[in-house]
Amino acid sequence: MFLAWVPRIIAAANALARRHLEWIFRVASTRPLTIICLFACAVALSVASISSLHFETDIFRLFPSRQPALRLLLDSLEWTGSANDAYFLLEGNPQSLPAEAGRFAGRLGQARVDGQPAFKRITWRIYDESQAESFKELIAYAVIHPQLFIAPEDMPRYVACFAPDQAAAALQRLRVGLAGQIGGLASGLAAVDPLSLRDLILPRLKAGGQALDLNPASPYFISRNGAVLIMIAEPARPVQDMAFARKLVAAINECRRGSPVSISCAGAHISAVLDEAAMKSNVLVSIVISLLVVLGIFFIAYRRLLPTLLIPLILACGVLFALGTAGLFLSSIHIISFAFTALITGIGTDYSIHIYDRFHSERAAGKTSREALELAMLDTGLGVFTAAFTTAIPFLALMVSDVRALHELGLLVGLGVIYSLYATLFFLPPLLLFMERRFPIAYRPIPGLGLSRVWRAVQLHPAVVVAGSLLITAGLCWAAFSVSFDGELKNLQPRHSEAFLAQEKIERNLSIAPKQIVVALEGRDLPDVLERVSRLDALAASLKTRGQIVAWSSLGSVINGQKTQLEISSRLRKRFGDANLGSSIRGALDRQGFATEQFQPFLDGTSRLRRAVPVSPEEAVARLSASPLKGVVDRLLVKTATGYHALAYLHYSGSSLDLPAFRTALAAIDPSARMTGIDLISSQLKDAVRNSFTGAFLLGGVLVLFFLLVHFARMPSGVFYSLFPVVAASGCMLGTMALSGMGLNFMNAMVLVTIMGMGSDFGLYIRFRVTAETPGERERQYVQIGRSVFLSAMATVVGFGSLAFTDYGAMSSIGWATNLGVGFLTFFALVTLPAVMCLKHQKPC
Amino acid sequence: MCVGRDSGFCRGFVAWWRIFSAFGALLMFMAVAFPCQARQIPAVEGLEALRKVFSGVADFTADISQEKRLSLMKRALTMNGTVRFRKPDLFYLELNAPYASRMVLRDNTIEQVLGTGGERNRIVLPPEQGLKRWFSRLAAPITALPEGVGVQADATGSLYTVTITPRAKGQVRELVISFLEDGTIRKLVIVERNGDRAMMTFKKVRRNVGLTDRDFRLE
Repeated sequence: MFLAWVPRIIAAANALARRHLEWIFRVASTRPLTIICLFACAVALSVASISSLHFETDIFRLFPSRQPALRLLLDSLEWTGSANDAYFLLEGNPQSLPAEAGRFAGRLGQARVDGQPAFKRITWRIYDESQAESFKELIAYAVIHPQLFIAPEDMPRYVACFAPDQAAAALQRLRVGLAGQIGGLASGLAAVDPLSLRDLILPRLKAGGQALDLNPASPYFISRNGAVLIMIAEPARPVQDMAFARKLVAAINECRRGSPVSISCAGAHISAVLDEAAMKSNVLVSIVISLLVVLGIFFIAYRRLLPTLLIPLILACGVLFALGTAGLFLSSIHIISFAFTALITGIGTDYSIHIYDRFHSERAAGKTSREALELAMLDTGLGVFTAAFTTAIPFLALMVSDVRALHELGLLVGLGVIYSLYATLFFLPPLLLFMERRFPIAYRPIPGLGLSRVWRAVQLHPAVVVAGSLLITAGLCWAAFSVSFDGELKNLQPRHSEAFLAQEKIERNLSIAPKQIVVALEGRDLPDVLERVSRLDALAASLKTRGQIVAWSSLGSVINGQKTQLEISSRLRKRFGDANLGSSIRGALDRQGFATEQFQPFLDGTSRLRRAVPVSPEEAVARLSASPLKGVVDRLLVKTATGYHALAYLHYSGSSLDLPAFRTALAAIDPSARMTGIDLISSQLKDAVRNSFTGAFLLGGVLVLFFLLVHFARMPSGVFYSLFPVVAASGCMLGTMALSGMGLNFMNAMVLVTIMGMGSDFGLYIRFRVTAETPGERERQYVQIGRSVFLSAMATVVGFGSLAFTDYGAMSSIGWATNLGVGFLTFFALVTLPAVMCLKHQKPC
Repeated sequence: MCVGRDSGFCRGFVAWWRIFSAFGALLMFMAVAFPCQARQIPAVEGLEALRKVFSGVADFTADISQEKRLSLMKRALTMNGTVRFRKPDLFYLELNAPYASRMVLRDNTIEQVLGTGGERNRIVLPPEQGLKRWFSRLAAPITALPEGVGVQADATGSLYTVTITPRAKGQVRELVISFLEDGTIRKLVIVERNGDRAMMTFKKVRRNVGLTDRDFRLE
C-alpha cells in the first residue's frame, strides 16, 4: 500500500520543489526591495538571538557528560576543585627555581582583578610556616594513635621505639639535635614526639597523598630531575566568568613579566582565555584566507565583480541566520563549533557558482537575460536545491547525536547550508538583472579549465577508466579497514597553545605514570565507604605486586580502616596492657635531663595505648581536615548532598593494567563503584560517536535517498550516479588516511557526513546536466557543469581544507580529511562517472 | 666540713670571704661612681655599623661557646665548637662532644649530621629566610629601617649591640648581635617566642682567612 504511494509522493515533492523555485524566482526578480527589507529584519532578529548565546571553550563539554567515565571525571574535577585551579610551571636553573617561585608567588598574591585579590590560595611549597601549629597538632595526635596512622607492617618498629634502650637512644639524639639546631625549629615537634615516632608516619602520609611525582627531598613541588617546579593557585572566581578569566590572565602575564625563569600556565581559566584567543585567531585567519581565495577563484573564472562581492553577503547571511536560529534552541555554543563558518565558506559558495555559471554559459550561447536566468534558476536551480538539501540533511541528522560536538556542528552547518542556498536564490537573480540593465557586457564562453580534454580522454577508454577507478577504490577500501581511531582528547586541542604545552610538561615531568584511573566508592555511611576503600587498597596492593600498576593513592593508603585498626588496637593492648609506658618514658626523659612536664600530653597519650580502641572514621577525617593534610583529604574523600565519595587514584603505564580484569575485581568489591580514565573515556566516547554516526547515517541516508528519488523521479539511475562517488570517495579517503598514518578522531569523522552530503551533489549535477543526445552537446554540458563542480570542489577545499593548517588539532584533522575526501569525490565525479555514462549508453559518446 | 668556729679551715674561709666581700663592695662602688655607660644610638646607625662590619669581611672563622636555655630541658645546655662563614651564603657550625654535630647552611638549605657519623638531615627553608637574601640587604648603605622589624642599637666604647625584633609572628622573638668596630663579632643571642634562648659567644675570631669550599663540607 505504502509502496504504491511512494511514486506519488515523489512526484508531488518534485512538483512542489519546482513550484517553490518558480515562486522564489518570481519574488526575487520582481520584488527585490521587499526581499532586502525582510532579510534586514532577519539579520536584526539573528543578532538579538546570538547576543543571548554563551560561547564555551572547555573541551570536555563537547562530549556527553552522562557517559559514566566522563561524568565521574567531571564530578571528581568539581569535587576536588582541580577543575578550577591554575597551574604554573617554572623551568630554569634548578638552584634558582625555589627563590623565583617565592617571588612569583608573592606577585600572584598581590595580583588584583577589579580591586579584589585574583587568587584565593597559592600553594607552592609542601611546608608552610603558617601551618606549623596545625602540623604539630596532627603529629601530636598521630603518634599516640598508631592504630589509625601506622601501617600494619610498621607496627613492630613502632612498638620497638618504646623499648628502654631505643627510647634512650632516641632521647640522646634529641638532646644533640636540640643543641645543634639554629633556632627552635624542632622544639615544638620534640615536645609532642620526643621519640621521633613521626618518622613512621610522615612517609606514609606523604606517599599516600601524592598526586604528582615530586622530589621527596625537596619542600617544594619540584620534579625529580629538578627541571620543573609546579605551583597551584585557586582563582577567586570560576572559569565561567570569562570577563574575570581574561583579566586574570592579563594579571598573570603581568606577574611573570621579566622573570628570569620560564613560567608557563595551565588550567581552566588559562585554557579558556588562551584557547579562545588561539581558536578565534585560527578560525578568523582560516575564514579570511579561504574567503579571499574563494572570491579570487570566482572572479578569475567569471570576471564579474558584483556577483563576486555578493558571495560574502550570502555567506554572512548563512552564518548569521544559522547562529541566530541555533540561539533559539541552544543556550551555549562551543567555540570549536565555529569551524562551521569555514565549512559554510566552502559549501555556501557552490550555489552561486552553479547558478552563475549556467546563466553565463546560456548568455554566451545566445539566450536572453530572462531565458538564461530562468534556466539557471529553474533547471540548474532544481539541482542546486536538491544538492543543498542532500548536503544539509546529513548534517542536520547529526542532531540525533548526544555528542555535543556533532550535535552543534550538524545543526549549524545544516542550517548554514540551507540559509546560504536561500540567500543565493533570493539575491542572485535581482543582482544579475540589475547588472544586465546597468552594466551590460558581451558574454563570451567561459574557459573550460581543460575539462574538454578530460571528457575526450575518458570517452576514448571508458572501460579502462572504470576498471582503474574500481581497482583504486577496491585497494584503498581494503586499506581503509586498518584505519585507526585516535581517541586522545588532548590531540584535539591547539598543539602550540600554552595551556596544552604546559599540560604536556606536567605529564612528562611530574606524572607518577603515563596513565591514571580514578575509582569512586560512594555511599552515605562513611565507615562502610572506607571499608570498601580498604578492600580496594588490598586489590591495588596485589596489582602493584604483580607490576600492573606503578602506585596508587586513596584514603586507605593514608590512614587505616576499621578492620586494620581493630587488629592493631588488639596488638597494642596485648603488648602494652601490663606496662606503664607513661612512667617508663617519663623516667627516660628525666634521666636525659628533659623537663618532663613539657611532655605531658605525649606521656598521657602513651599511657592510653594499653587501652587502644579504633578511632571513628569521622574523627579521623576531621583530624586530617584540620591539619595541613586537608588538601590530601579533599582529594581523596568528598562529602556532598548525596553522601561520601571516596576517590582512589591508580597510576599505571601503557597496557600494563588488565582493565577488564580490574573492572571485574572492582565490581566484586563494590558493584556500584565507578571508574574513569582517559582510556575509558575515549572508549565510551568512541561508542557514543559510533552510535551517533550510525543513527545520523541511517536517518540522513534515508532522507538523502528520498531527495535524490524526488530529484531523479524520471531518471532513477541518477541515484546511482549520485551515490557512487560518495561510497568510493569515503572508502578511498579512509584508505589513504590509513596508509598515511592519519587516524580518524571524534571530529574528522564528521567529514564522512560532509562527503555523504557533498558527494551526492557532484554526481547529481553531472547526471542531471549531461543529458543531451548529441556528443557535442553532451561535451558542452559536461564542460559547463564540470567546471562548476570543479570550482565548487576548489571552494570547498579552500574553505574546509584551509583548516588543515590551523593549530587546533580538531580542526586540522577535519581539514586534512576534507582535502582527501573532496579530492577523490571530484575525481570520481568528473572522471569515472562520464566513463560509466559512456559504457552504459553502449554507443559512441 | 666546717665542724666548729675554731677549726683552722673555717677561720681561713671566713677571712677569705671577708676580703672577697670587701673587694666586691669596692668594685660595686666604683661601678656606680664611674659608670662606663652604654649609649643608645639611632637604629639606622646601628644597622649601618653592622653593615660596614660585614662589608669588610669576606669570611671568618671562630671558636664558640654556646649556652642554650630550652623549655624542654631542666638545665641549660652548654657546648663548645667552631663556626665558619663565607660570603654570600655559607655558614658552618661544628659542636664538640657531648653534643657532637655538624651543620652547613647554604643560603636556605640546612644539612646536619648528628653524632660523629650519623644520618644526614636536610632542611630547606623558605627562600626569604636564606642567608643570601639577608646579606644582599647589607650590600648597600642603610638609610632607613627595614620593614617588618624593630631595631634598637647601643654602643659601649667600640662595642656595638644591635637588637632586632621581627614584628611578624615567626619563630624568633629577638636577635641580639654584639660586635666590635673593627668587625669582630662578640656575641649572638637568639630569643624565641616560646622563651627558648641561645647565646653564642665568639672567641678567636679570624677574619678574611680565605676559607674554601672544603671548609664547608660535612664529610
